[in-house]
Amino acid sequence: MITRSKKSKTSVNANPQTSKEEANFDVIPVDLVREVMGRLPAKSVARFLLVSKLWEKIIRSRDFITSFPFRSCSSSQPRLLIAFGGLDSPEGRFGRHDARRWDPRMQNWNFFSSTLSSSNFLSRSNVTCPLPNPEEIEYHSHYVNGLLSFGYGQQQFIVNPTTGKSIALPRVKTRRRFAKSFFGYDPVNDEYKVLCMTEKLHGLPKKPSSQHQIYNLGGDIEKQKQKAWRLIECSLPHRPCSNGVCIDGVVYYLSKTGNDLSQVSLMSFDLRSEKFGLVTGVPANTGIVVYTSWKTLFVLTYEGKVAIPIQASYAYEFDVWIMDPNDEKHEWTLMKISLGIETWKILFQYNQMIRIRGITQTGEFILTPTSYKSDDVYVVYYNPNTDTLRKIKVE
Amino acid sequence: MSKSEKKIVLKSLDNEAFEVEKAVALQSQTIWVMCEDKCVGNEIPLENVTGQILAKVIDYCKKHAVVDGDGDESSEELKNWDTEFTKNMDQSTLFNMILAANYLNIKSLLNLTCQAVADKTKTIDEFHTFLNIENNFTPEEEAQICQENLWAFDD
Repeated sequence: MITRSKKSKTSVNANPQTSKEEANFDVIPVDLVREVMGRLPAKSVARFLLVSKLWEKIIRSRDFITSFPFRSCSSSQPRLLIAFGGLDSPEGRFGRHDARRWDPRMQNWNFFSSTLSSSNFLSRSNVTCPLPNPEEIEYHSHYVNGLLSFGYGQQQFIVNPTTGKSIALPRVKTRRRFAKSFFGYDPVNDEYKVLCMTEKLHGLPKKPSSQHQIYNLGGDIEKQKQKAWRLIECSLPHRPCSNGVCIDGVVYYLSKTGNDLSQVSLMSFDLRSEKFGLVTGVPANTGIVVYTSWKTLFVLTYEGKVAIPIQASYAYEFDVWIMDPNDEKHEWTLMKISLGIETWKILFQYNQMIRIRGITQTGEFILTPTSYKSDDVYVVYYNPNTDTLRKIKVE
Repeated sequence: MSKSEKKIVLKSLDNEAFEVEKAVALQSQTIWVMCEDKCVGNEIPLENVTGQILAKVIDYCKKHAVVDGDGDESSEELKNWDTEFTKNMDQSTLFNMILAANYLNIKSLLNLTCQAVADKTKTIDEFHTFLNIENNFTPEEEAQICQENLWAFDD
């Protein structure tokens, strides 16, 4: 008798949404539903938006998004994410005969994230965005705290790879075709900001960028209401020449600076104060000069510091210059990485050129070829501490 | 300490009694708190768990207690045992295991069973039946969500 009354009581309290009660089980409490959902692969989570309105509400909640995936207890788990465009282009994955499928105005982006259950492959998700072919001009995408930003000219996008949702930001305030954007997260105000600046594509290349502007995402409601780009002051003439990284609410990127833009320096942009700063010059012995193609210049985060990987003498050798921006001395230290010619030949088909695209939170360098010529999509992790490499398949 | 003090009796809601080592039972935070507070005698009534489920929970706790104790088995073996443990459970058993793990507050078992459900459940329909949830979307709302999240529905 006691049993029965208890049973019905539990189910009424647990989930008022469900009217029917099956004979053999109780209704599962919401917090347990959340436990199960947090362990699903990202793709399933997006699919399970359709399970019910309650599920949709849970999955879309900020709380769920920031804690996902909670398979692991530690927050230090690597949640690597890299993005590629153009894998589906005719020259890319499918071969020329499939060119019909290829619409140059709709760019398919592939996001690779490490799954926590297996360290041997990356899971992949696609987002289609109307962007021109990246072969023309290489984009830098910026992944910060669960969101990814990329764009070209006046068109800027924010993608949440977990939910697969992408939004187009309002058009950047410019009539120019070329704009560079950076993305950062300010943990204090819980706010994302896109920083954008434009450049004259033609004419003198020695002109600094201008029309600096900011777009806020999240944060307090007053700011969200504005929903527009806001022009900001920049008193430091500079012209960015790399992607950016966000460390503790500050975005760092390489830039041409000085009177005639003949220096390469590390710039900072404080997301809270919205002030630009020149951190320090990049020393000459790095080999980085103003003519270095911005396709090859990457700024990464290594153990909370700024790291710049530069191809050394051979395709399989890299110099990684590391600097702690919070240390007054601004000293650059050099870490040399060499895969060895044989290893390189074995790991990267076609003896391709490779790049260091990222560094995991555990300090492993992520190497990729500059392009994929077949269906075989992979990345290689290099651990500098143990001098070991592992090839990671993508799906 | 006499032998009887090291043992504890767990009683399921259908009045099935299980005598287990205290070390085994104390993996449940709920039971641990009860014992700590001395609010129960040597017999603990567990009103939310059936005998069938409780037997499985005890199997799990025994396995994990032994391993924690003498370290004979590697964590690899334990992992394999865990996989086997949930592998052949039907959905209603798994479901009840989650509820029991939650009620008894055994974190590792809750992890294991939730992960098992997440791994086994592939389709939305499975979730509807398994978690006993009603689909309360209109077809229009469904279509809109699909549209917004094409990437997730495209294979």
